[in-house]
Amino acid sequence: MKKSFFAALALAAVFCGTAMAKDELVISTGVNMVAGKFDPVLGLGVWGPDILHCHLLKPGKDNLLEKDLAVSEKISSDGLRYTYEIRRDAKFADGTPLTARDIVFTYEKTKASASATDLTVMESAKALDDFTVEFTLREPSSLFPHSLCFVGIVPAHAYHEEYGSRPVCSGAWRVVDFQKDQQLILEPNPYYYGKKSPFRRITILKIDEDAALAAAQSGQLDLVLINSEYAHTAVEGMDLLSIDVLGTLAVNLPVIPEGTAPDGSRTGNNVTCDPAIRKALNIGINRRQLVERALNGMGTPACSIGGGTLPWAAHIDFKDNRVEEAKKLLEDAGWKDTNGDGIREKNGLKAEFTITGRSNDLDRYNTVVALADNAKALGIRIIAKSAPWVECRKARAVPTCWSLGAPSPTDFRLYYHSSNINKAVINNPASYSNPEVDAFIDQAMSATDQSAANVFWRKAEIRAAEDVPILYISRPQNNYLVRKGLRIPPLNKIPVRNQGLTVIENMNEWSWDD
Amino acid sequence: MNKSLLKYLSGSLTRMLLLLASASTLSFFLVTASPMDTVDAFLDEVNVSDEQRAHIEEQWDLDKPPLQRYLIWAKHALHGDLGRSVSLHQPVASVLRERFKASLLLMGTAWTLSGALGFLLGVAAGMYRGSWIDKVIKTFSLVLASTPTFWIGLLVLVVFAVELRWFPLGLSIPIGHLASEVTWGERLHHLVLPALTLSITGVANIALHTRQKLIDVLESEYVIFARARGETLGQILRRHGLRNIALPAVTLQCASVSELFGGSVLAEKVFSYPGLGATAVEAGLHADAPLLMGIALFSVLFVFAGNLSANLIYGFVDPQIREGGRSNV
Repeated sequence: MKKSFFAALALAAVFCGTAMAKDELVISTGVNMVAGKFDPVLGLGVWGPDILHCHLLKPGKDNLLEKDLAVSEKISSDGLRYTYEIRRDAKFADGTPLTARDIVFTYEKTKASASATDLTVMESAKALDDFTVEFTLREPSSLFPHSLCFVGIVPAHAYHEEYGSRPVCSGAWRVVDFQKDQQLILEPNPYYYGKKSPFRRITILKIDEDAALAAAQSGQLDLVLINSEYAHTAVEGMDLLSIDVLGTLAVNLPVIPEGTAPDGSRTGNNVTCDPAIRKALNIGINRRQLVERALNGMGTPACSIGGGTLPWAAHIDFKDNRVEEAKKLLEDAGWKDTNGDGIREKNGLKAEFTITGRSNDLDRYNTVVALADNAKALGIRIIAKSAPWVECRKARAVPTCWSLGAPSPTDFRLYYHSSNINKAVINNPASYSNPEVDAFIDQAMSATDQSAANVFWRKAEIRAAEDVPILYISRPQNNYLVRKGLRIPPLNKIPVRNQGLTVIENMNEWSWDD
Repeated sequence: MNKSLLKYLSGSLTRMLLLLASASTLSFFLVTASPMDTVDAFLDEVNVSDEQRAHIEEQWDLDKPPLQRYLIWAKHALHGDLGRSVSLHQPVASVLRERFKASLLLMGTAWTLSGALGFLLGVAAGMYRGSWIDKVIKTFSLVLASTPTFWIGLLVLVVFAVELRWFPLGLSIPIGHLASEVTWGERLHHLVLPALTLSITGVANIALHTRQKLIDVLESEYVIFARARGETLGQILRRHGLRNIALPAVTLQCASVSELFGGSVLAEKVFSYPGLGATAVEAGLHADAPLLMGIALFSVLFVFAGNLSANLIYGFVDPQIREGGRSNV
């Protein structure tokens, strides 16, 4: 409370007397863009949209893969060799041409570094000539082209160990000045091959969540990311822009009973391992109501990953809030409330478990709280607990609320394939294992054609959904207050949630209305 | 330069090296023992394969036992390489340099301000003991001494930035301005409120101690004798007072270097002023061992330098201490 009052107060007056020219914008999209770490080699493109670099491919219209830097793609029939020809007019912000040599450098550097970009499947990258690059894989992987969207190309001649603070850019924008944790000042990259922004300069400020509304009210900002709880507050001179995003709030429900993983950590949950509990929750909760209560109505109910908007995901939709049916399901499975305390029991075990919500993401914690309220009507007691992400993410025994959904199906495999059980801390948090699903995922992986792969991804998803290892709930929106007259064209796709960064993805296409 | 001073300095240097070694050991094992996982903190919500995770751990030597990791770090540190911060993706040395530059201006200004102001107020109150000046200064100091820094920060903001609008409320430079375009005037304009806030609590301490010491001095027999000889208050202060009352002020001022370090964390947070304090918090939250150890070493050096300078100044101010040092060492 103290902090938020402070921050709000601070911003109410910080902007006095700094009116900007019309060809400059001052915006705030949360804290991420001003944290630095603009190094694609370490994973910039994995954490959020990378508007500073260009990529071989990009998720285009409807999240289908599109060519960005690449002009042609050739995949060998064994799925082990991917060859890309690139555009000849691409240049870095320092004017030097971008060649296949830079691409090879970027990929090899990324693979060798401690990077969040996972290139383990790539064997090698090789420049066939100045404008052709060939990747060799260790095994066929239809996910590989998706990783080409994450790796922004850095210059081989100007990469240094502090690149993350002073990047030489290859995308639509270049960094003019960066004052860590304060502001990032961007100008259009004059050498960018794509659309150039009409704005001379855009300043991205760091503003805490609490202070965002005050910042908007100060009238000095042209765009501000705000929390859903302020979405209905009118601010003079600004309009609300709500962007639908892929990030689907979902809770993993461990399908195995309590036990110990090989590394000694706790795994499984005696209540959620009963399919009746999982299925009853799936059909018995009221997702519409959860959106109203937890997200202030700023979101959409979702029964599956991405709510059916992803090219590789199935469109699963069913009627929920079937309380009576859910109750019957529980009764039939032996879950009965024998002592009249409102919570069902079975063989002396109470239908009671804890779900954690990430403490610095209010939407998630609120969703867990609302979910607990919904579950009470079914006779299941859910204890909502707010915890830091480092604790939440160890969710094999105590489920947590995740935000799932990306243009690439990479995560789907890590969450559903049985080979990922007990791997890498957060993989397959439900410990879900189903040979049919595994087989579909394997087939999708070895496909050389994206649309063929997508057929298998969808089959895997539909089959897995029957077992409800993950309970999908809703998709919150990203909300912004935008100055009247600033035109932000639609993205033609549902973007990733990205802690509010979504909107800057097409910042080079923004303009003033005439 | 005399021999005893050299001897004293070399002794201090040995102590400092021991201190650095133990501080780095302690902070390393504290980070290692904390439940925070470096790779988890780095990846945040990003999901990678088990293989990639192992690769990251290998790159950061996390696959090695803690003792070996510490020794590797120590070896590099002795060669001047403090390693890379895993949370900021930057070499630790450059983070320290960058952050210290911002903090130094803030802490240096606050330190000088609190020392000078505190001493003057203390002298004034002591000289006119019991008068209204004394009462005002005493009340002022007692109120300040019992007020937390962040609350003062808030108050200062409300008055000078929100109501009067004389100063900006946050950041170290104006919005939308390139760091290279910013003038010293603008920098100072942004520095005033955080520096004032940070110095204000130190003032009270020094003023009250100086006042008490001056009162003691004025009641001493040699001052009574001086009065009897007909010296004025100003003469007494110059000839017999300043040297004697400087000691507590110097002690407090130099010891306050460590407090300054802690206080700057709050002041930086309140005024969104980027500095070392905020970085230390970040390093802890990300289990960023190299950065945390870098900051620990740095603050040890800083505080040690503060205390050492106090000891040296004693020698210059007070011949008794100088002589005592000679006979002991």
